[in-house]
Amino acid sequence: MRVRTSPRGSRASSNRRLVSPLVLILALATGVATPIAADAASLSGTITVSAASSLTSVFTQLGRSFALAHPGATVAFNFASSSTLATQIEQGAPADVFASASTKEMGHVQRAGDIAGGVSIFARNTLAIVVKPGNPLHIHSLADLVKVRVVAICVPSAPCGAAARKALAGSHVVLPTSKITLGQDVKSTLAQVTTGDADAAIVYVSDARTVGAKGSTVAIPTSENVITSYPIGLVKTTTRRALAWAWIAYVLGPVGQRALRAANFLAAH
Amino acid sequence: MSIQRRPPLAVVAIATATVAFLAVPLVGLLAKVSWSSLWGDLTSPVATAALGLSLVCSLWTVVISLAFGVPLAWVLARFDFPGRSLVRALATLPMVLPPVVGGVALLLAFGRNGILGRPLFDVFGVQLTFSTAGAVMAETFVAMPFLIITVEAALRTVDPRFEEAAATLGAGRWKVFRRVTLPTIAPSLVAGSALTWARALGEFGATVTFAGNIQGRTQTLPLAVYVALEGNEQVAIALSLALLAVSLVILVSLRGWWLGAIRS
Repeated sequence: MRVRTSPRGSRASSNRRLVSPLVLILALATGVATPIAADAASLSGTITVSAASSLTSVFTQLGRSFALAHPGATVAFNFASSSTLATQIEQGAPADVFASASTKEMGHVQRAGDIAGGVSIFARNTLAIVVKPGNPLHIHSLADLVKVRVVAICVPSAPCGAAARKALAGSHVVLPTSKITLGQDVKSTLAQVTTGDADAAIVYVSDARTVGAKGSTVAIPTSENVITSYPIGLVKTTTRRALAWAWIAYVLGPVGQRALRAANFLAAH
Repeated sequence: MSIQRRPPLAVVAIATATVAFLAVPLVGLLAKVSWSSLWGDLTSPVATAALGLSLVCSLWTVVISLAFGVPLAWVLARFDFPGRSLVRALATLPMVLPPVVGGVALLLAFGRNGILGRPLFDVFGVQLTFSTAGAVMAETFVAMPFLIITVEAALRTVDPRFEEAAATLGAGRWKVFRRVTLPTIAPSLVAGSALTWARALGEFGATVTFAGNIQGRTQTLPLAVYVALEGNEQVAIALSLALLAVSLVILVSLRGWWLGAIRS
């Protein structure tokens, strides 16, 4: 399950340095030690997973199926922008697992010594533009965004904000600050278009997919797009190590990967 | 004039704990302030834009609240009409309503697809969301009740005999209000305005929900603090310090007025 060099454009963010032997250990653990790991006694209780906002729906769904698979175990989630979560963990907020939308935030937490063991990339994501239903302003590219009144983008510190700025810069599109409304995380950024009056938002493809009838999605070509990687790791202060590992293995395993794929995330490799 | 010479020890202990609970976060904030870069942080482009915008929005809020809140307070204080308690509840509801809910309500009413926002946009081309006017609206929605409630309470305590006396001496209604009522409730007007101003200055939830978060247009001080908190912590702390200082000055200078307003 090692992450291979991406065949995508050169701007795809690189995370090779974060890949660790953990993945292999997990593969072994889930393959060899499943009967032991499934022992109900060791896998009961509640873990708190601090997860990037973009993982809200897929993790909520996975949390339910995980609880069904492990009676007595529950997963509580703390969804926010990865930078907010990183700050919380560094300040000692109780979390057992950290699932970040960017290797940068995970790197911060790792360098602060708050992650036990290595981290694994479990998904990747790219960006899309979400506009009002039917695309009334005829937006077909990042460059078209200069025509609209207000574009919603995540704050620069959030991974979705960093990715959006990278994509805009790579496409040589300069949006004046007077056109940009900042969302604290990807969900609140998207809501600016779906319930608010912003004309467009730059969000992850996986979030764009959730808009339904409340918006239309405009794809960003690969050459102008940015790929972000999602690392997951065990928080050092966890008191529910076995259950936390089981959750990480679940996300990296076939069930988790299938759910992520269904939610329009890209494969980790 | 306390009857007891010394308060019970247990009460003192609890009171001390309460003060500590309220003060420790402020100490935490002060401890993190980088005094050497404070001026630079406060004059950074994001900070000056937010400071200027907050000043403009909060002062407009006070002006609008005075213009529209005082007449309502007067009606509530002086006239008995069916549904008065309902109107009073409505006028003070934003004080207890979570501001985000207020923002959502404003959005659903005045957004481009809102019941009033749609005709406003379709017919006049006016869009309140993502505009400074929208930020003022959000702040007014949340802060005006402070003025209404303060002024109404003051109007209720005005002895009607003074007004009647002025009227019998030939003063018109407007003159009575201007020469008798207004001077009597002046302390409350000042106190209510100051409270409204302070509340408007600190408004976050309704503003970000309804008016968005656009630097220089709707990104007021609290929004700038929230955005700066990650990645630009020193600016966030500097702006927080500015807000804290303003709030303290208002409260301290208000104490006299506030007590005066209650006594009047």
